[in-house]
Amino acid sequence: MTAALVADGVAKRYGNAVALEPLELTVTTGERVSLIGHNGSGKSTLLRLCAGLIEPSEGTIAVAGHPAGSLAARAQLSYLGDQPVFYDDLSVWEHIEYVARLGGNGQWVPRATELVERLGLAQRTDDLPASFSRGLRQKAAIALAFVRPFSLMLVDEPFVGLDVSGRRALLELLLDAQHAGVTLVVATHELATISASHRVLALRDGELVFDGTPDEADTADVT
Amino acid sequence: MTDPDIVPAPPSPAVDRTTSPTGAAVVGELRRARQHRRLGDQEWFDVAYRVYLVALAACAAIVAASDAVNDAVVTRATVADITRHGPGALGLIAAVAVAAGLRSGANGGPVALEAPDVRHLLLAPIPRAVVMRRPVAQRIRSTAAAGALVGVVAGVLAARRLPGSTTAWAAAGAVAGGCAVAIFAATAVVAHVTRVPQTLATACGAALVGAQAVAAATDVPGPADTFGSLFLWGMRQHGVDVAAVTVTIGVVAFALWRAGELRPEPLLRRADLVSQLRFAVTMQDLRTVVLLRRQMRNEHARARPWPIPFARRAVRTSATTLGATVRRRGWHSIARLPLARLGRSGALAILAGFAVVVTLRGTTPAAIAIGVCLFAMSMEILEPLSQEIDHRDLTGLSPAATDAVLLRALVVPAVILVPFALVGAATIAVLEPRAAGAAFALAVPCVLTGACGAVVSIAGETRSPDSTASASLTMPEFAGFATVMRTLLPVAISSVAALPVLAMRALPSADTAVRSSIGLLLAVAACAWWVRKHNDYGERVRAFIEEGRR
Repeated sequence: MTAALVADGVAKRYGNAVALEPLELTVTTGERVSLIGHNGSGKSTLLRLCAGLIEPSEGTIAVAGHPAGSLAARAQLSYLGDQPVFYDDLSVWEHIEYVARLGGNGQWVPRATELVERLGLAQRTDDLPASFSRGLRQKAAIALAFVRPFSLMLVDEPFVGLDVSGRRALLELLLDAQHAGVTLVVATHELATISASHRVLALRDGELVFDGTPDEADTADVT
Repeated sequence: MTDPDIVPAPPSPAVDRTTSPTGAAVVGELRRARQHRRLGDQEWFDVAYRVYLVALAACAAIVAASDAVNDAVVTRATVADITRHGPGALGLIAAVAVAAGLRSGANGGPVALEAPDVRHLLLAPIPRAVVMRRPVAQRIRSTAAAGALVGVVAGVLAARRLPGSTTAWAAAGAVAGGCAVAIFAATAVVAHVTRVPQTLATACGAALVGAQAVAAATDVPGPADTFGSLFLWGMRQHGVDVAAVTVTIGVVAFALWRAGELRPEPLLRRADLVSQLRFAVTMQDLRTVVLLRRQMRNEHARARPWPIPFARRAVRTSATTLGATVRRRGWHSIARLPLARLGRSGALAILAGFAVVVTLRGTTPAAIAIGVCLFAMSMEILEPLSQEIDHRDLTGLSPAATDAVLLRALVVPAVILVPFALVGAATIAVLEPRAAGAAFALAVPCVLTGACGAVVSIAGETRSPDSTASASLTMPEFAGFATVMRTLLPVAISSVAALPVLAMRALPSADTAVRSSIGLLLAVAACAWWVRKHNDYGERVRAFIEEGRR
């Protein structure tokens, strides 16, 4: 198996505050990993480091063999952040179009149509997502994350604000991606997602305290 | 549920190319679409007419201001003195700009993207230069334009007192001002992409400013002399000064070339703040603007407080009177002021002293700079008051009247302003020894009066809970005027501190100094009274108008 994600002694500090202790991690291609931990344990920091949005204080991260944040690494990954972010002046459909085309997906319309249907956004595609409720914004953000090409997806607290149908749609999308051979790293507190993953990583105060299968994980202790 | 007619497509495979030939085209299309959406409802001739009106009003204001300033033409000896020391002194502006640029770049400045740009464009598989070049160019262009405008105003004012045509001075001012400010933004980008450490940036900036300060005070050539000399092209031209323009163009070109290497992490941090900053600017909320600017500079309260003896004693005290409690809180706040803010306050005190000297030597418009410097310095030091305003809910929970708390919160900042007043006085004493006595006598009343504008700006926000009500009481025709007044009034109040300087210039005597001091202290007392009473009277006025409406 090839490595989709390799963290080599990666750590993050803000001044004297430690956000992430030095971490060694290898995620193989096609693996589905759940990242769990208390608030402030370092989950979002790790995902942002992998996405190349922030830089490690020490160590390196490689995405499919390329340095995190590099052009080649960005071509491989899709990042669904904890806070949906949209332009104030573009509709849902325009967002989808641009994100897909920026990602290099020229034939984006069928995939976009399917995503908005599955997420229940078909009637809202001409609306401005900036004016949406938290749940609708999250659905629009999910559509943007899935419409671009990727082989590694980093997902941070994706279920926040979603209704039952939204949760179900997201779980199905994640499952489809898993079956298609995509590597998934999902930071979450949702037990349904944790049990569907191959592997669970638990962080506490920036330190990796558990790395094993869902069956072995004591989720009550670290979530 | 999913529509059964729609067959779920598997996720697309990752892009298998490392460059995106169409990336630039898509980014361009995205920006054009957004621009079209923003400007869709505007007619081009309407925009052109507005630009024409603003330009006309600006030109009229500059000419009127220069006509209103009836300062005497300087003597030949003074012209010779300016020719000799002017390049060094004016070069100090460029040196400070470069130093500020180094600091800004080391802190992740000067560019701020919108949050969606960071999320969607910087994470897209397209070269980041495609995304970043335009914001960098825009930042440099806008700052250069602002610098050029200030240079034109300074040039027109200089033409009133120095030989040379107004056109020549205005043109020289535009080029020199544009270069001095453009090099700030370009240096910041260069420092950012080359990852200059903060300590190195500070050290290099301090060395540069120090070397230029020596050049300004002596005949030793300084590193930024050509920038200063460029401004004097209104009355004489030196070919070597073109080097300043060349250097600026070179640094700007380097910044644009390396724009794609700006780091996402500071861009992400600044993106979160920039939308709030824009909203605060729209609302003319000066306090919030200052607060967000500090956050963008990554400036936080000190983790370990300064060892201030008063603060320590205050911590141990068990006094429970309102005054003692608020003073304790004030000392705790001051003890957490970051070094950069204290340094900035000191620099503003020196700048105010310099403006006093320039005013005393006959350049009346410099009096405005005195007010602006004292206002800005006070905004830095009035942290205890600002914190009370920012957390008015906490203040409101206490059994004491909010106004009484705010009034007592002024005591500690007033004490802290005294050393800065002495720094300003010392600057005047060094540059104009004849005025040393008056400077030390008037320094504290002047600085406290200068702080009154900042107090009005900050404490005026206590009306905010009812601001919608008060705004609704303002007739729409006067809403714009009221907004302008709210922005300018605090600076105008701070500028009262410059009146004794004009008085001493007209009639330099001990009697003038005493009368001026009494006048200033009365102004400070009036400000304190306003802090204590303005909410009460505001409530009464609002109740009266509401009653009238019913």
